[in-house]
Amino acid sequence: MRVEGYETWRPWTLEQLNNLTLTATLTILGANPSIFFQNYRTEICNFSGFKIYPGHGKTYIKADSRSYRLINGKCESLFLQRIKPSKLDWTIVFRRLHKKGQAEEASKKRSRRTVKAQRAVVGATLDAIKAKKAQKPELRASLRAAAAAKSKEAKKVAQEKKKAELSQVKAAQKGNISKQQSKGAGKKIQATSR
Amino acid sequence: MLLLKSFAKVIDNSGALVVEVINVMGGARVASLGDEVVCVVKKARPVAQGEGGSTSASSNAVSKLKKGDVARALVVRTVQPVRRLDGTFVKFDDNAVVMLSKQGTPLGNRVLGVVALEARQKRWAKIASLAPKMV
Repeated sequence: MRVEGYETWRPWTLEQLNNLTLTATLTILGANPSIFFQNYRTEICNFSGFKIYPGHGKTYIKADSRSYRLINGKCESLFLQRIKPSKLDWTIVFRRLHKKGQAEEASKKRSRRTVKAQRAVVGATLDAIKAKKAQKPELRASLRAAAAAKSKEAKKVAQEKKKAELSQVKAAQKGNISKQQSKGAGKKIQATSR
Repeated sequence: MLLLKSFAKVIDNSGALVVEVINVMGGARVASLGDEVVCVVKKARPVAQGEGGSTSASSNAVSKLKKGDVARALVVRTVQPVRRLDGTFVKFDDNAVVMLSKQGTPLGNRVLGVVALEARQKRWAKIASLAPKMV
């Protein structure tokens, strides 16, 4: 191992050996680390539908520049014979077409449950919301009734007030009063010329 | 896997159509993707006589090569599968080649068809840029 500051080579210490990174190890062993860190991506065989891990299969680029990934010689041979994968019952294309194994897949699916969480809203803090939630139904009903009665009362008072105002207006007016006027509309502007 | 006597298709518009390999540069016996070869033009596009020639169907063909010309070329497609560093093998439907000048620049100004990624080397940057699709 090259030691800093010295123009000489010293053997590795155990600690240094233990702390070697993967890239360093590969370089020392003479391997090219970039091989192992290239596009590691499982492709899918264009014929059978199986996963192609790195190091397997062939990529065949046809004259129309469409590329086909084939996982093994079996698929390659069948592909070149132009046999349709949808006719071979071990391919995924076939299975999907004839809806094989879908019952198992469906049962395997786990339903996701969303958890509803109470949140404070502008105008009502979380405590206020919780308090309202915790109110007994009878209490709520009585509160509502009280509120309704109150609003009814207020309405009644307002109506009476309005009636009184109207009667005043009526008294002030002379002559014919149209239906609309009695309701409180403005006075009709009489024509002065014809 | 092109060697002496191999025929290859020319996929640029340099005028040549089919080419026969007569030498593999670098001393190897066999030329693969990304290797340079010396070749003879076996079949070329007919050159129109005079200025008012027929409109070339090959979109402004730069007819520099005619039958019997010797020129260099870069191998861009091989039927023989070639192993890539990630372990995959790539193979094409035909052997194809792009014609080069002695300096290494492409003779045509357009490349038609797919070109292998192996051609993406510093020397052939021009070809890589001309290629419509690199696979």
